[in-house]
Amino acid sequence: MIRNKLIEHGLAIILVGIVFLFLYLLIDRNATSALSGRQQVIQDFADLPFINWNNPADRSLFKDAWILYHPDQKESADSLIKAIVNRYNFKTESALHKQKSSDQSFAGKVQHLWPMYIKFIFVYIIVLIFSYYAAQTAAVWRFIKMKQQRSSYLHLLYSQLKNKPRFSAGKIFFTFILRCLKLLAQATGKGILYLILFSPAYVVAYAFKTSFNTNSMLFMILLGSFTNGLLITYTQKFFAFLVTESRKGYLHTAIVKNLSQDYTQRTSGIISLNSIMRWKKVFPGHVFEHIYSNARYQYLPTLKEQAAFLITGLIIIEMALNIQNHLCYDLLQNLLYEDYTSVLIASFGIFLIIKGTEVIADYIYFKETVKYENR
Amino acid sequence: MRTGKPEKKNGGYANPVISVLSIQKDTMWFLLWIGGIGILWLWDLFFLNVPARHQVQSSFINTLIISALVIVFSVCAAWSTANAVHYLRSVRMPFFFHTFNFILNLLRSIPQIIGILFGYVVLTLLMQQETLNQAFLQLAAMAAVLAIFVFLELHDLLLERIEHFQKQDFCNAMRVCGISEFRIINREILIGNSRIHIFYKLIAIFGTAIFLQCSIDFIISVGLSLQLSSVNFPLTLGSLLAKIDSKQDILAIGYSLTNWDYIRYLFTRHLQGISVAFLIVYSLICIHKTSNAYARRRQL
Repeated sequence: MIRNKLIEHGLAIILVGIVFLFLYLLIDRNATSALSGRQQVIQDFADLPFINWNNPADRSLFKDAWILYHPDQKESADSLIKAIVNRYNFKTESALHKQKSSDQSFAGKVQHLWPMYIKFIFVYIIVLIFSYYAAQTAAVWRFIKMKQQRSSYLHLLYSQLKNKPRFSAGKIFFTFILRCLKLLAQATGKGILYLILFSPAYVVAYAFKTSFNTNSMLFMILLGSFTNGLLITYTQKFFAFLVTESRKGYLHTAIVKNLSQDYTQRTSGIISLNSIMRWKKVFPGHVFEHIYSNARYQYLPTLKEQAAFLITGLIIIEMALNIQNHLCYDLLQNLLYEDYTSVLIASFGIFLIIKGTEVIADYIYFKETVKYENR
Repeated sequence: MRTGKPEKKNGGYANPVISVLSIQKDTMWFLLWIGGIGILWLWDLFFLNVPARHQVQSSFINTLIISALVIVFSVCAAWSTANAVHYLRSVRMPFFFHTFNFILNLLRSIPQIIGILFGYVVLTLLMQQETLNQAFLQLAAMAAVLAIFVFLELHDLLLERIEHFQKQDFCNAMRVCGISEFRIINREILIGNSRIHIFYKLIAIFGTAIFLQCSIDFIISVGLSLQLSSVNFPLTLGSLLAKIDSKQDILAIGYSLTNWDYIRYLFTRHLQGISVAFLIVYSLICIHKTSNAYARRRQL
């Protein structure tokens, strides 16, 4: 089974590699391909060496000449000039962009992208490991709270206000107000946390831009982990697996065999904060041990999906925030200035990261399957 | 133990409003979404200037139209591919089956945002050649590009449902009765017994579509503006947020973190950006909550 998977991944890498190589050769050959129709006209005028298109006098002169020779196209003269100016500026900026990386050969471009690629992989691995741990921990926490039948803070506040005591003494009134305020603050805090967790990274980054240095790697790791809905989505997925497992029949057998089903949280014990927060979560003698390990096994294939979603998130962060000297910002710039060779190299690199993660996830899943099936 | 839930009376809650909201949380979250947007619209009506309000309205409507179209295209694509995979497997054509699966898995390995970005580049070329002129056609094309990279979620679900029901006796019984495979799969399994699962997945896809669409439009408006500004994609929440006015408004949030007295101006002077950001984030929260509550109610 794992052999077939590895062959499939290998074939995918080879196929995509061939497609990218073909595209590279195609781009290389058609670097100066002919444009068609209006685009060609715009290009020809933008290439005229004796006109400075940013000079209003030159533009005005051109407009008069254009109307003189094409009186039927008088209305479209302005839009034509605007398009020519755009093309002219684009050409100038593109030339400047290409000057930045002196070596325009394939090897030179790979050398230019390499450090950014390593930096991207570094951030990716940290965020993947953290989000894998955090999603499971948050889901376990939520599941235990559900088993403890805890209500939401707003429900509790509603309940408090509805069943308010008689204020025979000032102290009772003061305690009541404090309790209500605490619940209100907890509800507000939870609301703000939700807003951050669901926010696209660029909203959070722009909101904090004036207060923090948003271009640092640490900020990028934090954004990648806590925004774009990554954490909340995969916490929910793991939580769903836990809930599904908790409904299965084998738990009744486990309970009959005297395994604990007490979810009361204590400072030290099977269900304690320490055991929930641990990297390797174990709950010996408790039914939750089996719920957790079965849910974890089912979650492993989801890791591939999580990795793809995470990569999307990181790309969004780098592209949207215009963080210079980062792989995806460079990719966007190269796309803008039509340096398609660099675009292909960066895209293939990102594809390799995803494939690498998929191979690792499939291998871990295979190992776990062997263990479960006593093979 | 703290429970604090409102008291029940004869199996239901004493307060009829609480009763409805507590039983159907998915409906509650959906109503909260509509209500929240309604309140924002009223607020904008009083405090946001007319041109900006029109922009917010049209961008939100365009975003909703695209996301709804993504659902339509995803259903069509997923239904077709799931049927194709099942057919190729059942007629024992291993080469075509593996090739088709291979292509789908390859699509899965492409980061959604990269795939959509390249799709938008193609759309730009089509718009430059004036092939995509009509506004609705542009929205549909944007939705089609998004659907290519999100439909696989639904495809997996449909296949999972088909595989699950194939193991049940009633499938074989229907085959023995002479009912066609096409009808068993599409009518009995997918429409008859998987509607709820499909609906749940479609709510989630709606949220994903909003997120991806806003992100790609933001990226394009910020990073590729030089090339694409002359093309004019329809205004969406993402592209409106990328405008300098909106970005200034969002930056004001950060400023108010260090200057607390400035918070009072956020909801009157910086309303365009705040409204757009709120619409994106609030919609994502409510859609996520609605889909989860629906799954919980239906015990999916």
